[in-house]
Amino acid sequence: MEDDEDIRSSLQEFFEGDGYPVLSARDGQVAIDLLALSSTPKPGLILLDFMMPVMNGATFLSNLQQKLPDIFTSTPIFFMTARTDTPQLAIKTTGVLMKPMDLDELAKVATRYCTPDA
Amino acid sequence: MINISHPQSRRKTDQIKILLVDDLNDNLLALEGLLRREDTQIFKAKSGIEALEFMIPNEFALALIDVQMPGMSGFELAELMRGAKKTKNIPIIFVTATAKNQAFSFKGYESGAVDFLLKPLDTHAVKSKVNIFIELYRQKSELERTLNELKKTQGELEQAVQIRDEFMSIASHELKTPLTSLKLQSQLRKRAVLKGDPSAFTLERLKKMFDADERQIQRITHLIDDMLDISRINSGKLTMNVEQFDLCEMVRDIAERISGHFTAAHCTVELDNCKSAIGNWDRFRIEQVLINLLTNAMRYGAGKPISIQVKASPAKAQIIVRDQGLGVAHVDHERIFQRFERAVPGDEISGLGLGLYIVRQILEAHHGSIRVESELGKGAAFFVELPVGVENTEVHPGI
Repeated sequence: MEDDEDIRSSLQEFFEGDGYPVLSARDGQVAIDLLALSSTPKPGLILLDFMMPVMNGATFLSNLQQKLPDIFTSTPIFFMTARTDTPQLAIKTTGVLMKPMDLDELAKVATRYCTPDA
Repeated sequence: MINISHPQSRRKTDQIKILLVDDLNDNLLALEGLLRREDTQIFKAKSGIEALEFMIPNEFALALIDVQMPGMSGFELAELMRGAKKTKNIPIIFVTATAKNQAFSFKGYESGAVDFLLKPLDTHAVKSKVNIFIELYRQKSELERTLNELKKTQGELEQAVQIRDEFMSIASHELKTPLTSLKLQSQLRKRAVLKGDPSAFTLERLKKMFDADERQIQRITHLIDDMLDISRINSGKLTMNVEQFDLCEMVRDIAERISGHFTAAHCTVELDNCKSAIGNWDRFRIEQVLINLLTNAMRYGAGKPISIQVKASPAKAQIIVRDQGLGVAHVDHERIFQRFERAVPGDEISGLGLGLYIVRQILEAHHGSIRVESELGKGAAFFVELPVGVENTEVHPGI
């Protein structure tokens, strides 16, 4: 989840290149709608931007907890943010990735929580 | 209660108030005659109770209190004064007919400013003692005033520092977004090179990469320009380089130049039939205004058509930029032109929240103006007015 199109497509390109199927959304609302579809496979990892139009990262988390509690409790969620002053972001999430993110770091997170498609 | 003040040659608030307390009217009048000064206002109380009543609404520089009074004595009055916050610091001069040592029996008066005058009164001694207390009071008031001014300045400075800190935080956050994009792209390319994957560098993909890089570089440049502008505006150093040009031509030129962005935002721009609107303005700054308004219209315009109108009259030009997007609630019509403000909450749309503030500062430097007409959900129209001719000038915003 990332509203910046260039960052979103770079991330998608990177993970897909490493063999992970990716669902992307430009804001929290799109993501909730997408995750609520029965045809959507359960994600192994959620990467979440904080500042997004329509529905920001924090609101997305609350909505996810309410509407899709099983995904909320079972999925590792990482915030991606440039803010250094909001440690409370980490409370509901598995961790925080500081922007600008490093691909090696992203790769580590992905291998820890997900298995790439063959 | 008697409250006689002197002929007013000064404002009442500037006058220093002195309280005389004596049960004998003759004594009060005699003292009043002795102490009459243009800069003082004298209150006369015939009993301790009356004196206390005067003390409620008034602030006294000094109280001259007769010790021997029927009912409440001068010492008893002083005891009561000591007990209340408002009165405990009023300096007291006791007026007494008996020996001076009796007066010393009153101890512990908090101000420490207790003095004595013996009857019969030596007019010279009375005057000089009272003058000393008046002078002390004046100095104390002056100090208080200075202190309050300093506190106010300190508050303003603290607020300014806080605003600057917040701004630094927002600005660095904003700069990290394009930086993130550039870093991810650069690392992706490096990985592709290391893998020896030529398919990552086809001409088509390279073009895409360069376009993306350019976008991010533009964003960073734009953010830094805004930051520099704000710093120039704050220090009153936004200079104008005025030249004569045609606003209509500029609008057409800009619309053409940023048409790619409009396409990307899935919206169209309608240019009203603008023939010519010639005036003396700063070309670069007015361009900045137009680009800012158009970018906002794109950003908040919900992908619906945007229109630009330019109207010319002999004295001024008017530009109207209209979108059909989110709109601005009436309560926010002024707020959006303030620093670090925007129409939506800060964690939803990125940016410094400086665009419209800078726009207004630029227009005011041209002796022009900007206002918005809008309702929530019904789009917004920004009206810019620019007088056709101004001299070279600098912006000095009122901050």
